Amino acid sequence: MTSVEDDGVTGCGKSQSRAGFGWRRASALRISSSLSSRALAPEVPCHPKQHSVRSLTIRARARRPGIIPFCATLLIAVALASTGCKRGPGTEAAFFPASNEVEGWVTTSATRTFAAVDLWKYIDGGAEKYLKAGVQSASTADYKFQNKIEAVADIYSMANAEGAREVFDSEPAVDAKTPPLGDSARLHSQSLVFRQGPYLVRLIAYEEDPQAQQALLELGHGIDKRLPR
Amino acid sequence: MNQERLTSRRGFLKKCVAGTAVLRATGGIPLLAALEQSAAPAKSKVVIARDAALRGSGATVESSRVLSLLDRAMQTCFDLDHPLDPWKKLVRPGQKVGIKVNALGGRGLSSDVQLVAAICQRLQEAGIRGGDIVIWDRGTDELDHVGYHVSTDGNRVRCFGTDMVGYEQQLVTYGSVGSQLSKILTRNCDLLINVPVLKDHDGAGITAALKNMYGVIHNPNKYHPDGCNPYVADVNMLPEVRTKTRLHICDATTACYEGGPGFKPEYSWKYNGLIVSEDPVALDYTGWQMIERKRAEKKLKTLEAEKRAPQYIATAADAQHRLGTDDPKRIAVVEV
Repeated sequence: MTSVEDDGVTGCGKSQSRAGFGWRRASALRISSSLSSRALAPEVPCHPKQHSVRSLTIRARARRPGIIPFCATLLIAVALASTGCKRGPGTEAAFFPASNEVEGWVTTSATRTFAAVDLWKYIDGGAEKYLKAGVQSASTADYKFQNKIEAVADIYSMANAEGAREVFDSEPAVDAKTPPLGDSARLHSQSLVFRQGPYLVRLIAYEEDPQAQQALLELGHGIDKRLPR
Repeated sequence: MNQERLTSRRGFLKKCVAGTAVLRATGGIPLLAALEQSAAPAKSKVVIARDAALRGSGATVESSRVLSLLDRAMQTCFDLDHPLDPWKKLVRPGQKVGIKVNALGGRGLSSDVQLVAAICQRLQEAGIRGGDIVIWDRGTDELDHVGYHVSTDGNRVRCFGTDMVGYEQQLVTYGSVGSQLSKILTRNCDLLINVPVLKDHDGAGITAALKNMYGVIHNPNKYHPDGCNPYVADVNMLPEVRTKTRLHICDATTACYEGGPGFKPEYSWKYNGLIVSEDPVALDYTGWQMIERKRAEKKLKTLEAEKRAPQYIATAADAQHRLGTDDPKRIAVVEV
């Protein structure tokens, strides 16, 4: 039997519980990103420089004129496929409002983007429905409202508007309000789902709060404004 | 010495066969029938423990109340009087105990931190050293995100994901499944306590005890076609999974009847309960019925009507797997 060696990531011995170990508090040390596996690491977004460097390399190395366009196309296509980006570099992150762009809401995490092929790493078991509907990528970011309501915003980029409609319509509208937002929307006390063109947006508040519903709706409008028309 | 024991064992078997022959020859059939009847497998007990005041006046589970709820469930499951007795029956000091939680559903629909703390408390009171307990799932980030304190300190309860230690190189197979197992399971657990969450599952129908074992293999994404059938049953047949898993404590404090496995508050309800069993198939069958009842209450179609009934439960109970029973006549549901 071997055991995992202490690598010093704990560092949080102050809050010992009766069970003999400390549970994470809001301010507790977060684990180092270096401890995360590659398998769970955020999908690397397309970066403009990445493509230009590849293109330059191709230009420098290719000798015969006829092969240049072919190689460039091939390599860029491979690069795009491997990163899962379909709508240009950094597109997904741009859909999320910055802190206080929507009053009271601040971002509490970086945006993570998952290509379709890696969607299971984010929603294992729930990915099939999106894949069948033609999901291209999913992006997610955490938010907090007035320092009391924590929430997550997910934006699924589908191949077309029909894909977003398919997922949206597959979910029953149990006790939902239908505010005028995007092409169609459903609002609950702790969640908001809407679709706009090829995008499906899902906002979830983790705390029950009388303000949560209205706050989610406002954040939803903030996202909707940023989605391409 | 070994030869003597072997000879003695052979002799004993010969006498048994001879005795059976004599019984049959002398009209002892009724006696045999009675013996067979008494040897029939006992019903699988599934305990559902609930506490309407589990959250007190707040939204989160109260630690003292969940400990009491756990005690009630465990004592009923094992028919024992003292809160520590079931744990002493389950574990021995010196053993390494893994607690396989489910953190994939994210905040709101993952194994409750207070519940797992209560399990750790009782394990330690039963003589398990803190450092011999490991709370784990697939990803460390996921555990951290849902509120677990990530720790690899060997002097106290540890908590980390398989991503920290990786998977065994060797591929293990059963039926349709070929996977690498988490090194946490193979190297850090003598026995496993499974702490899943009761959820609707878009692909599998429902997820509870059996499906939670997808978190111990490296390639769960390969096993979602066809309603995860027969993959779920086959994963649970992998020798280290089957032999090490001893108890299932399903977290139904918050459960999900639609839109799972991710957290969707609009389709979740505060059941404020635990479902405890040594039989994962019986537990899953019972959980499935609970979800169906909630779906009926919300006027949703049955999972069968939606063509996503959890067929893997029947597969897990079939003659090839025998992981438990899905026959309601052989399941004793005890509500406390």
